[in-house]
Order: sequence, then C-alpha cells, then structure tokens
Amino acid sequence: MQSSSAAPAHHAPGVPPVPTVAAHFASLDVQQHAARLGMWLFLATEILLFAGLFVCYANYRFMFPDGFAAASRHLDLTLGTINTLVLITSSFTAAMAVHYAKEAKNRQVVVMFILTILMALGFLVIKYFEYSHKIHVGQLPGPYFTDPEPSLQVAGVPMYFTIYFLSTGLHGFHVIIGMIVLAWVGFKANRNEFSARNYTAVELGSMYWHLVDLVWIFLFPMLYLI
Amino acid sequence: MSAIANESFKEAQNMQEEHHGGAAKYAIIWAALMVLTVVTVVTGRMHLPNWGLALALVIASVKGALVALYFMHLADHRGANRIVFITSMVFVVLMLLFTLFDIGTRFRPALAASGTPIAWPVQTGQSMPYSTTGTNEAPERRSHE
Repeated sequence: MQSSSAAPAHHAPGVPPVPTVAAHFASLDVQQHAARLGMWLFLATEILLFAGLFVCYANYRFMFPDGFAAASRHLDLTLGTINTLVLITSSFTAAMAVHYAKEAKNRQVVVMFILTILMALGFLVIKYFEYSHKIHVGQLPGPYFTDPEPSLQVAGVPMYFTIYFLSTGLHGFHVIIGMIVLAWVGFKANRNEFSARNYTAVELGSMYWHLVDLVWIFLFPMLYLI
Repeated sequence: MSAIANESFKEAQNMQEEHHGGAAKYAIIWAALMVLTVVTVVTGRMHLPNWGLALALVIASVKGALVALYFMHLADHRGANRIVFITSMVFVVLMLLFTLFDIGTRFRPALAASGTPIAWPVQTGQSMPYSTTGTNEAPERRSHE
C-alpha cells in the first residue's frame, strides 16, 4: 500500500515521480481528497475574513448612501474594469494549468503559471496607478481625507475611502501571496513533477488564485459600480 | 487494514468518477465571465435608481458561482467540499443580514408609535462625527476637525 518515499528532487528528468502517500492515508486518492478538503476549509476562513469587510461596507453604505455614491463616482471605472478582465483571464490560465497538469504537460503548466503571474503583476501595476492618484488628490481614509473637491464634501465619503483602501489593500495582499504560491508551484512544474497521479499542488494553488478572483468579482461592483 | 483505512477507501470510491471536461469548458466559462463583466459595467453605468445594486449583486453571484463550480471544480466534487463552501456562504449571509437588521432597526423601538425619525441616519452623538442633513434633537457631543 505504501509507496516509496523518494524525494522529488532525485527522480530522473522527464519521468514524473511517484507521489508519496503518508502512512495514515489508505491511498493516494484519499490523500488528495484530504488535501483538497483542507484547502476548502482554509478558503472558507478566507471568505469569512473578507466577509467582515463586506459587512462593514453594507452597514456604512446603509447609513451614508449618498456619500458612498458620490465617492464611488471618483473611482476610475475604466481601470477597474480592465483589472476585472485581467483577473478573470488570469483565473482562466490558472484553471488551464490544472488541465495541463492532469495530462502531465508540465511545460504548459509552467507557461500558464507565468501568464497568470504576469497578469497578476499587471493588476498590481494598475492598482498602483489608482492608489497613487488617490494619495495625490487626498482621497484617503478617515481623518486623512483632504480632497477639497466640492462633490465629495458629503457625510460618509471618508468612510467609503477607509473601506476602499482596507478591502482593496487586503485583496492586493492576497494577490501578492497568490503570485508567490503560483511561482513556487511553477518551479515544481518546471522540475516535471506533475502527472495524472499527482497534481494536487497545481490544483490547490489554482484554487487559491480563483478565490482571489472570486473576492474581486464582488469588490468590483461594490466599490466601482454604485 | 484498519477500520479508519476502510472508511477512507469508501470515500475514495465515492469520488472515483470525478472527471474533467477539459480546456473547452474552461474557455466557455472564461467567455461567460468576460461577457458578464461587460454587462455589469454597462448596467452599473446607467445608475439604475432602485434595483441597480441588486442587479450588480446578482451578476456578481452568478460570476462567483461559475468560478466556484467550474474553475474550482465544485461541480465535480461531492460531499464535504461542497458542504464547507455552502456553510461558509450561509455564515456570510447570516453575518451580513443580522448586522443590517441591527443597524436598520436600532432606534425605532425607542420612538412613540406615531413617531418616525426626521432624518436617517439618526444622529446619536456616539459614532457619527458628521452633521447629517436632518434636525434631530440629539446634541452633538463630538465635533470632528
């Protein structure tokens, strides 16, 4: 039942290694099932982490609907839309990486993850331009809000920017973590590690990236489209 | 083989017929997500008065469901994975609804049966350093520079 625990680094090039099954799992399938379930549990905690900010948003928007609408008009919808399309496309390439990993096409897995990471980088660059503009005109959280723009002198506007920076900042942090995770799994793919028997790391890494996309799918209409 | 391992075998068999539609399915989902993004931007630009937010949230939920079901393979999986995801969603909705109920109803029971707040949000003097448009009697205890 137990397979040999050969370290992945020692296998011959071009031959995917036999995945290690830990002693407490009956089979490789069960081990992979447990890994996936563990990832879902972790993603559930991530969803609830972001949900806290969604609840803040909902409550303050209920209290200050006019302020939130006024502040939302000052976000760059074009940049936000481009970022949404970039992130959805990067999610697609991450899904394709899983598809190729199942077929043991490690070369394509590497290509797909490089594309995903490049798009993640593009997302962050666009986010940097949005942030630097906001900082430049003083559309900042709470007491740091200094924008003299007349249409922004409405109750709730500084609160909107507090939530804007907290939620997009936390999301951006997840983008960076996701890039690191995908780069790590990409290195493993570069060592030809994945095959139909063992693609757990690709699948779970991609799941993390899809969660980042999932969160943005909700942040985008909340922040940009009200 | 121990009892635990046998249990695990049963699980392994339950998820055996987990299969993958392949690249075409991902491409279709990707195209659908792109189209839905354009739709939500176009409808969001119109600033629909009453149900604009509801429509945006419905579109976002459809997009989220597509990502979770097909990109994250929830459509292929059985049992525990789905339960974990659905449970987390249920708790998000509970957290959202109950805090909104609280905010939405907090001061109303304190009013006389015929009384309605003149302005909403009601000025409490507690945590709202902004002057609202209405004329509530509550004194402003805190001014914010």
